Amino acid sequence: MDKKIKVGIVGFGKMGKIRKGVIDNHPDLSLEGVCDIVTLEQTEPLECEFSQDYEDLLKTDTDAIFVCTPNKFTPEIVVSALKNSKHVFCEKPPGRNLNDIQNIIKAEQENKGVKLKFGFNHRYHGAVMEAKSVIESGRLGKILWMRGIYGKSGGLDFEKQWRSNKEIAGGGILLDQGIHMIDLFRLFCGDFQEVKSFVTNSYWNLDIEDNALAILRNEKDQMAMLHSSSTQWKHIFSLEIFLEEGYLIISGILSSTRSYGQDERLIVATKQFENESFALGNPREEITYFNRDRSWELEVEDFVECIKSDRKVTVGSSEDMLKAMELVYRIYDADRKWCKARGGKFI
Amino acid sequence: MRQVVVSDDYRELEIWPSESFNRYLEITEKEVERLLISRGNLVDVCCPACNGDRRKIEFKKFGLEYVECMDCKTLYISPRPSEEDINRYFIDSKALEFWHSHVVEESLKTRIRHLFRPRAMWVANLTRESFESPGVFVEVNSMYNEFLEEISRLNLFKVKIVLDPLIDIAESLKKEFELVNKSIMRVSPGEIDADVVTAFAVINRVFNPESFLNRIRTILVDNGLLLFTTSTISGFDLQVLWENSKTIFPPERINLLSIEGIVKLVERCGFEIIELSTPGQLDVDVIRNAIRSDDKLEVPRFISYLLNNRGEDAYCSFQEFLQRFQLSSHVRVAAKKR
Repeated sequence: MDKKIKVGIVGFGKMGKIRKGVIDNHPDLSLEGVCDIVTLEQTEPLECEFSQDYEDLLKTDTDAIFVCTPNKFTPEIVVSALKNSKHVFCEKPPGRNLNDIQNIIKAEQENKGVKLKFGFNHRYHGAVMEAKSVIESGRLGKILWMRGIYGKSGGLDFEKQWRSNKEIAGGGILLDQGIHMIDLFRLFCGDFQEVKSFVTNSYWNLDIEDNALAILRNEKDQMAMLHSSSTQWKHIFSLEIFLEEGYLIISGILSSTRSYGQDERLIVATKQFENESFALGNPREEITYFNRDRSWELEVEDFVECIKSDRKVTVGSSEDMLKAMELVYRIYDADRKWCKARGGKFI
Repeated sequence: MRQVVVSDDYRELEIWPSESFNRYLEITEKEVERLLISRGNLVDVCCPACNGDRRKIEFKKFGLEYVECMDCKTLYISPRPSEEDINRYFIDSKALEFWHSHVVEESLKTRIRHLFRPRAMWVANLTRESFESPGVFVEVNSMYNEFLEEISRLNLFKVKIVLDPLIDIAESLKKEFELVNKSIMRVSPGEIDADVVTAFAVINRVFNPESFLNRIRTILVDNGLLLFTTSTISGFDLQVLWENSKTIFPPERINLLSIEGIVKLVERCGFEIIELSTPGQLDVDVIRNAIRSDDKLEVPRFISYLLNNRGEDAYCSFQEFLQRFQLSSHVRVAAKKR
């Protein structure tokens, strides 16, 4: 495909604007239209068509649609775009429950020519890619366990945001943010069969969770521990990966506000079992700093390449999303008290 | 470009034992006079990093003049001994014999643990990330059999070449390494196709770093890796101590490139820098020892206060800060052939 890929954006909030920035700078993409419920006067000046109805956008000759809407609206738009033979890039999570992602997958299977990719951009962060490369080199051996913490604080209007409304979001911090850590667990260790958890909403008193603690184990006996929180008053992203011969720690994740740290840091160390007491438990560490976030452009670049070369989506695929969402709902289900208070299991 | 900070625990005197190192400097001074200055073949050169010709004279060491480049702040010797004389020095100098028999011998255990082994791991890690099946490894101007042993233990490369070593290669390594006993400047294009070339502490002492890097480029395959270390004048201890630094002396450090100069040089020679780090551990320790051993040495008041009134935690944090912002005097660079 030599000509530019014509794209449209549905949902022009924070994520829609981030995607527009990447699209505008991509030589193979041309933004043809934007759709949002706000009026044209309420949005920033645009050099493309604007509509308040996404179906108008689907009727145009756009090749691909970026779906950046709140969870409640996403599944219908994605399914409709796929049925109109549009390639789709969709923000996570693509709905409020497993039915939503299953319906999307059904539409994907019925429209085989189109590409569907989900926005698991954390896989494209420098520290994550470097960690993956070190692990794949095999020099530190097999992964034994992982410990991931991803937390943010709510803020003054937290209760009023759509993410805090169960009717629109479907779930709380675990579904919204913790799903990224779950995706990274899957990236490094594959699927997890056993799940134990505690889920609470003890601070914000919403009908969605503000904290989830989970421990996971897979068939290879690899364990992962997750804490996803919206009462983490100082924002944090930390993923520790311990292997047979050493460890990696990803600390901080670059965001637009830099609230998770000014840099991403990847600490790599080899265990020291030498017969020298001073070295035990205090190995030499190498810390690599990453100060530029290219995750948004790299994941869109991958989407573009999949379209141009008719390549299967392998990162952020519908299977990745299904498995990650299944784990989210299994974490909810593993806490009996949480389920009981909500009238039964989620799956 | 990646940048790495290393936390480690060794000290200056474990690497450069004071008495032997001082004696080594005395011998070096005499050998510089005998093998370099007395020949009278001094050549005027532009900045070895940025090619700039604006400079100011700073100080003399062992009879040779250090000048600072007004553009990139590299510190270098000009006029300097000829290329031939410098090459000859590293073959004939008695100082080098003393270096190995005393300084290295006394610090060998620390060097293996804290220098050679991590250095080999650095080579291994970057190689594994760049090549699925690494082929040819070349070490230019090897100085230490112990490092070659570490490379050998990796079992990583199909072919390992020692090019123009400055030492006698140990018998035990001769089966492992192919020996090419000629200067890299005389290697013909196509004679070696290397995936990885290393040059540790070589840039600081070659007559012309640009020619040296250009020649390395010709023996690398496309996307091949060049890994080198050198001393940088951007480093804290060298900036503070300047002419009083024991580690600024010819001919081992005739090119003390600034960080900015290194970037210009490496990119001009057709490489893409993938790592530029200053993982040095010793800057603070070096200044502390310099103050202790010389009552008359004047350093900025703040540094004197810091070193006299704060403990190990502060030194370690400060050293980490220096690394973090490319301000330690030991620099390592990984670059890919463009």
